[in-house]
Amino acid sequence: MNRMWTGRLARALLLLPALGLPALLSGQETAQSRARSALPPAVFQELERMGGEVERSGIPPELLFNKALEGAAKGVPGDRLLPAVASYSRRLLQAREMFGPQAGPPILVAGADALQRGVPEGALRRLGARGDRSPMAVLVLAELVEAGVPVERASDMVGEAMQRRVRQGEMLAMPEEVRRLMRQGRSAQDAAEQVQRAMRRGRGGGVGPPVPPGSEPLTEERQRLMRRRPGAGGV
Amino acid sequence: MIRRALRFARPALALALPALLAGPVAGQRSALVAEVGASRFLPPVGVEGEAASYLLVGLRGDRLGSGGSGVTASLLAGWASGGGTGGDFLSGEVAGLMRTDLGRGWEVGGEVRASAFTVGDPVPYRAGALEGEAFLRARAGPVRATVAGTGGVGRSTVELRRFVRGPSVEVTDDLWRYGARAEVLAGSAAVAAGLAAGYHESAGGSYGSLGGRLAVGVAGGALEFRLDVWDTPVGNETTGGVALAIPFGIWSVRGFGGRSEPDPLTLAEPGRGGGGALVGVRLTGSDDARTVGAVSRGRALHRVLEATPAGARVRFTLPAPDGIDGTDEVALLGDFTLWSPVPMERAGAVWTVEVEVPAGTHHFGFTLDGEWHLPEDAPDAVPDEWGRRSATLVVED
Repeated sequence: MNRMWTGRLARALLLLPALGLPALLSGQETAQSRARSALPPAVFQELERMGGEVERSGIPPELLFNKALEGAAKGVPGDRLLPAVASYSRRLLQAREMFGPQAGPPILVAGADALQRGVPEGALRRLGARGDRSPMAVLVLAELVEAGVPVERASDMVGEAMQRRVRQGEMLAMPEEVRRLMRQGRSAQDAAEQVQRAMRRGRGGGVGPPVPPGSEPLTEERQRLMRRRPGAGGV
Repeated sequence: MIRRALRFARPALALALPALLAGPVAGQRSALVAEVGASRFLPPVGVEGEAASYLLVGLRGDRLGSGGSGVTASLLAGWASGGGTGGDFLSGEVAGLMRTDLGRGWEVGGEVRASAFTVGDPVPYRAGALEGEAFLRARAGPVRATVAGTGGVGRSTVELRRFVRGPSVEVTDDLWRYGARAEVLAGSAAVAAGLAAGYHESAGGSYGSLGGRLAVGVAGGALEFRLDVWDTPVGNETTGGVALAIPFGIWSVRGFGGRSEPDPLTLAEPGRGGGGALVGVRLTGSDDARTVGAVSRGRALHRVLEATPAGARVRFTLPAPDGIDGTDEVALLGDFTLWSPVPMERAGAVWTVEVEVPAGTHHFGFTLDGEWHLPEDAPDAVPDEWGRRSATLVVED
């Protein structure tokens, strides 16, 4: 092998990491590599620049590439992709500032979503200050606020639920229970109070959702129902 | 009688109670339900007598993983009244369930069940049994087929007295059975119908059965109609009826009406007819699929099937009533698919697909013939930057 070929091979090897060698070796495509192939070069280059900026704040640039891919998948024209990614980037940076440098991507994404859904920054900051850095808590807070529960009351509910280690299933059901009571004519404040009281009683006070109809529970249940013991008459 | 029965059931309860009473962990659901109800039954075929009425009180619990494996236990006491041919009874059962998803619609599993039963009248009778079943289930679109091999052993004891005040004599019988059953159901979670067949050899002879099933999902629960023709050692019988199980928050109702089936293990004859119902209240736990951070609720679009090392295996479901009946292609898209469409399969009234989702906060939605779609009442929907909405799925570590 002559020196020219050796030099070319070396340059090629040096370029491989930039061309997504880790992804190739792991057999998984990344948002960045997919964005490279799916988006116009100019859009991709601008995304790379924005990604570099957020990365300096500890935010994975993959989140921005993913947002751009989301827009492309939804049929959004190329010129509307970058402003949306820039907006998303700002919300992620806000979430980083609210939840601190230890916050991982799941809580950052949940925080950025909550801001988009109208949750005031102060409420999220208080949640973070209490140590409730669970994306589930942020999601439920956003759902409650969107349902019309006053922010203070919603923050209080979520904080108390986290403190009482309420099961995730019951916590996720709180907004829907509030909505159900509101449909019955109660105010958002009253509905939230009632759900919070139920939570304090333990076992969620019936807040948990019923078993959805499904083939597996149906099969198990009907087998159990039909099992018969002499004298019990089949029940 | 109750003391004697509890002594009888003690080993099984000792095994089951720690598992049932321990606090649930992520990926599991558990529940302890107290029930009260009543039933009224004619005596079994071949027995002359009046109908027996029962006041029923029970306790049942389960602790199941998101994949459906776990343990269940139940205790049911019945007080007879009305001068019928039945007596007070107590029955208990502990079962261990195991299910494994093999992928591509195949599932394998098994169940081991220990049960005990005691009744005081017309003669003291006790029975205990250990039964097992291994099954293989295949699913292709709306059709689900199950074949299972079953077997069991047990012992029954009858106390007989020759004179009213004389000493009792215990007559003990060894019970056994082995056989197989098969079932084919077609339809959706809302309505499914099919055929079932079984054949068993037992201490009392050969039992064969062939019948039909109609299962309907109603009000968050299930309703099933069944009709079977049995060939038993003492002749042919037709049995059938309706069974239901419906939850209302922490409350539940289950019941049965019709002609009950013969039991090849205990050699119980088919019932002539009757029915009963139990109302239950959940004392602890919840019946929702509490999983690694994502639960089915409201009009849920996703359900976590099982935790995986990197996150969870999730089934996504899009109901057909969203006006997608005329749609040719439905696909799932999300950040976990890098927004590449993953085709969904039609299964009755829903479109469904299962994918692995890593731990994290994710956004997803669907395309109908290439057009973005999210149901109006999708929970946890977040507006995007372009005036549309995406659903949110949180899979925690």
